[in-house]
Amino acid sequence: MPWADPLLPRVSDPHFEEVVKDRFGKVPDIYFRVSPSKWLREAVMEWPQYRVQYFPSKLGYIAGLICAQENACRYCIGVTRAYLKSQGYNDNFINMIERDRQLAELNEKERVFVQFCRSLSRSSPRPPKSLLMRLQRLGYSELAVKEMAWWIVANCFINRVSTFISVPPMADLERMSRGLLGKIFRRVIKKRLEAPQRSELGTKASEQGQSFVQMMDSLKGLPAADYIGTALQGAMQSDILSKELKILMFSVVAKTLQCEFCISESKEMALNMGFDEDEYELALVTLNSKKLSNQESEILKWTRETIHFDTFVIQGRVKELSTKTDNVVLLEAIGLASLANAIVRLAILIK
Amino acid sequence: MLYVLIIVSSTLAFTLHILHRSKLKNEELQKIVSDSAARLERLQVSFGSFAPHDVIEHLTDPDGVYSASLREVTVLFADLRGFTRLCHGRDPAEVVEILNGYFETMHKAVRAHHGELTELTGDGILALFGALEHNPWQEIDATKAAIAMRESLVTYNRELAMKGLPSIAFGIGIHQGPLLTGVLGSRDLQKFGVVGDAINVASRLEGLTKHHQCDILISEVVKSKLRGQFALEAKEPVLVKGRNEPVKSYHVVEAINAS
Repeated sequence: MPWADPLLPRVSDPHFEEVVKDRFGKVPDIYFRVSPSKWLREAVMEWPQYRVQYFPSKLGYIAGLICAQENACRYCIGVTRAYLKSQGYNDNFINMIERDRQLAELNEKERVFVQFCRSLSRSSPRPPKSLLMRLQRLGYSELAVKEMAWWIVANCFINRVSTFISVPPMADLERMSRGLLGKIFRRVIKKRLEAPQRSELGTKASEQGQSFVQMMDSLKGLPAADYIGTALQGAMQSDILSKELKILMFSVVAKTLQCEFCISESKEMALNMGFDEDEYELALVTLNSKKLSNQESEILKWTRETIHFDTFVIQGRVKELSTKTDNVVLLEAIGLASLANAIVRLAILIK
Repeated sequence: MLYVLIIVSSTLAFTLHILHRSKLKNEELQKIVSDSAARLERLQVSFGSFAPHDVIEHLTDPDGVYSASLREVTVLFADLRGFTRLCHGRDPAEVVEILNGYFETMHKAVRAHHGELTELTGDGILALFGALEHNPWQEIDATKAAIAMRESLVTYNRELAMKGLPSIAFGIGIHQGPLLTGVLGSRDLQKFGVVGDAINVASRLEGLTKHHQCDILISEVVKSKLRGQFALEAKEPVLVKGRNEPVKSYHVVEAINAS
């Protein structure tokens, strides 16, 4: 699997490292690379720790692997494999899932879930709502299906961030999970990959003003709403990228994935921000606007590349973009594009 | 007592033997499945040269059903000029070398702008924008791709000249319209293909490049969606085969603020 050298440097932040160390025992490389962006580093730490509540955790583990595979994320494949092993799954099972051969051994509910995972990860073509209905007809509750959708997009979010940064694979963890030591220290690996609770950095989304309010309402009853709300709020409040660019980035993803809800939501936000209708439409056609700096126009053009991508090509495009932006801006753009992809994909299904 | 011991140990030995044989059989089956999967993956990679990557993905996806769909697509049709003359009296291997280099160069230019090169018809190229996934920027992408092809051709001609080979020229027509895209054909012979009038129009526009003595022509429909991002030169409408009305076209001079 092609994988570039890291496209962002390691940056040390002692306070954040302390928090991470408290949770995982050490600071994995990815946290150094995302540490300059507060909301992003929190999302990268919190989202994978989400515990699925309304559908079997076995499917949650499988989803992690399928998403990593669909997005061809070398880093995430290594980590999810190690995680699956820490849960007691053997290589045969993991290989079979990877090669889609285990399906015969799964029951219908599980098979449809796998299909849902692949469909939502790819979003090409966009996943049909009929798949959600099918899952519900098979006995999953509405909340379970929403949680599935959230969990898949959460995994895709981490896949995108890791791929765009080209985070180096966790070689030591992968090696350890493969060997005898992995079996002996299964619990240690498990502990290193999961933490018991949310970090002190977490804040209640419900206490904050929200963008995409209706979508958050659709997630009522799931802790996921809090996870998304916190990330969205943090991303919108961050002043590294202009608000105009952030809204346009959401619009570009919404337009490409044909999400009517997000298209109208982001348009309304843009108009409230001072865009006039023509100016907004022109910005979306030309991927440029007088309201954006040259650097921001480059980021907007790049955003469309993040929707359906080939790993090797997108890492090349990130590298290209890195010559036009500084590292802090690039990291923020990577985070925001990944978040927009997650939120729009989720909205397509649950709105 | 000894009797019982013999029976127990024989049963145990037999069970162990059966288990061992099952394990070996299982390993053998695992190996066969792994080999088959590896062969399938290799086949998928090789097959990738015959159809767009996304199509292969859908065809090999056990859960996915690849059905034909009607969608708005921008069609780019390119054809070499004077190719028959170029072939005349030339070593076929040399012709193939020129052609393959040309296709390779053009493919890169098309891919770099979100296009899919779907068909090579002799020396002609059919590239589609927005056929496999929704692309709201398909007209701009296709026009940018055509300009990139023009620039790449200049570089490629330099390479040909260095090898002592003749330079080549092309005409490009771009149009947008509804196309039926999908896997078409009989049960025994299928291919990814597209059907629709937009292809004919793009082909006619390509033909008009000779008449208008230029290299890239776009239709009125495409022009209306470019929102002033390209310098265009209006050409006089011309009646072409299969059309009742004269066809309006525009020569693409250059990109204005599109990178």
